[in-house]
Amino acid sequence: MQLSIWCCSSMYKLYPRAVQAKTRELSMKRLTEKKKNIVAVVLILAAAALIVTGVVLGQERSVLTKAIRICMECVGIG
Amino acid sequence: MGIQAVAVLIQNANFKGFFTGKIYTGATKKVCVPGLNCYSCPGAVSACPVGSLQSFLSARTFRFPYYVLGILLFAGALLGRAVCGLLCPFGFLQDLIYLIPFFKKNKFFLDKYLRYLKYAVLLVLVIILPLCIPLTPTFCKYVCPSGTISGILMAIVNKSIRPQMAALFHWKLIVLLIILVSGLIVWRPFCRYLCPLGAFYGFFNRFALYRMHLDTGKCVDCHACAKACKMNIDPSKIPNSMECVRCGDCLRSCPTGALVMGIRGNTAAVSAERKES
Repeated sequence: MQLSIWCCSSMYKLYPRAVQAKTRELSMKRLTEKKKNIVAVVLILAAAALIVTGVVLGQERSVLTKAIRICMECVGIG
Repeated sequence: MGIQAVAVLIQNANFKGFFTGKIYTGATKKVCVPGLNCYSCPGAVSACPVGSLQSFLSARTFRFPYYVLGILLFAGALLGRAVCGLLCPFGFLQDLIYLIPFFKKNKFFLDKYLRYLKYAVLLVLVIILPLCIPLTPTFCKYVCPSGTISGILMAIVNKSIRPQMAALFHWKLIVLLIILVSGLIVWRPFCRYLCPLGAFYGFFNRFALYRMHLDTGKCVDCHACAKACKMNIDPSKIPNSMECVRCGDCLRSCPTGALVMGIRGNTAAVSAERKES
């Protein structure tokens, strides 16, 4: 463990730019993952808003009205 | 498969309907399930999102489908195509059919091109045609295999319905048989080539909360995941492909545990950072 720490610190002294470039690349990847999670959360909130809007407009009753009757087209009667 | 079986049972919990041939009319049918489960199935206790969407789009007086679209968006943003791999009853049926010993061929010349067909099905049959032709859910009427199965189940119990099944039913039966027979050879042909829900949810795979994470620190480029993938994806290169249905075969095949599926942060970045330091 101490040997590996020594090697890494030596590497940093010898190749600082390479390590910094890798750290920047990893930071970018972390941001991308974070951004993806933010996008997902925003979409979920937007979806919740759409559902609430639909319920306020009574659309879930329309879905129910359709769903409790046999869909003739769906089962192949036409 | 356990999760899939439970999901199918929950979505089709009206067991009495399979014996009476009558569909469930309870309040839970206000809710759309995220997968393909026809609401005319005698066992269905909820509504189908594709059928509900088309009923709004093909209504004589157009109303923007806030409610159905909200449910679809919610499922997509949360799970992406994990809906296909974990919750869809028709996907489960295809998984069962593929288990039957038969000649298997998942990679062939036309596979790459046929995958675009599902986007055309989504755009034309689910959105455009219902908008243009009133009271006609074109996808449900001419393609949906889940509806055909529902019709068969009803016809088994309800003899009075059988004389009414004519040319349209025969067409739908042919479509269903093609899908099921193809399912013996190709894994999940409906999900790959025809499913509009798969096409829709695929757009969310990259940033759905529940998604694949590749730990590049652990990945040894053995390509075991690519060999295990029945959708012909290389998860080590594209872990969140639009075609991935989150079946988990790649996770189980990875010798180092580099692939992780779930709601988590930057597994790969953190692991690689630790390796560097």
